[in-house]
Amino acid sequence: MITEPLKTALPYSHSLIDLTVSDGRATLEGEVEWSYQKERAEAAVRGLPGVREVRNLIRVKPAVDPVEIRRRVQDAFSDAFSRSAGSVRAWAERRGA
Amino acid sequence: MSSLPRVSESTRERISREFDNLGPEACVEEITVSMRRHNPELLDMALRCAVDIGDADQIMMGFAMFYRLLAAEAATDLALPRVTPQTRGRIVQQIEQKGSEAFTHAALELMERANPELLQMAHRFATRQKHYLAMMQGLALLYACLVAQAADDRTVLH
Repeated sequence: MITEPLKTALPYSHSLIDLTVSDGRATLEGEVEWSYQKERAEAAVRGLPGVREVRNLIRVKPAVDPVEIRRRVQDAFSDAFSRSAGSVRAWAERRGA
Repeated sequence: MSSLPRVSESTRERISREFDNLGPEACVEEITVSMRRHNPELLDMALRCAVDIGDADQIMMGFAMFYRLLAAEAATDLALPRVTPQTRGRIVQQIEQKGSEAFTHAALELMERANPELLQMAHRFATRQKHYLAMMQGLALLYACLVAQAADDRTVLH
């Protein structure tokens, strides 16, 4: 698997990054939180056999506006699928209580 | 007001690196062992939520990172409030009184004010999950329990 070096370099955050390789050119895309993730992904891909060039298009995302988070949570409460995943009251309650 | 440690941006980066350096499975394992010893009620809630949401291993990663961030700021997880069954019972009452939606909003608003970096972590992790809302509700629940316990512990001390 071509993504294996990414998984090895970033076992926690590799899923945020997409890798494609074509004609010896590797392209990294995605959005991460920290610069080390972008740098480590590039270093991992540079070692791949057959890769002559790496385009690192990974964006380091700034903090999310809390207003946006509130809106996302509010919207999710309006959505039946979102509400179907369980009950906070049930998680809070002790077994046999 | 919360008296939990305030997670800094640098701690968030450090713990993210820790998960990438050691691997998430090893980190979750270590944190789970620690929670079982020091915060079994909190762990039980996290596990119930994780099983309910599905893909429990993945969901536990979020809870483990959340707890690890607070423990890292507190220097040791022994310094974090140990949630008691009584506190858990009071939280259940709060959810019944307010409703789960209002409860979740209140807990997240408190997190936004007192621990904005923790809210960033919660949101970013939840965004990667199939069930964004459930993940946020689970993290809000754990936060509310820790805040309530911290307040109780302060009362006992004074």
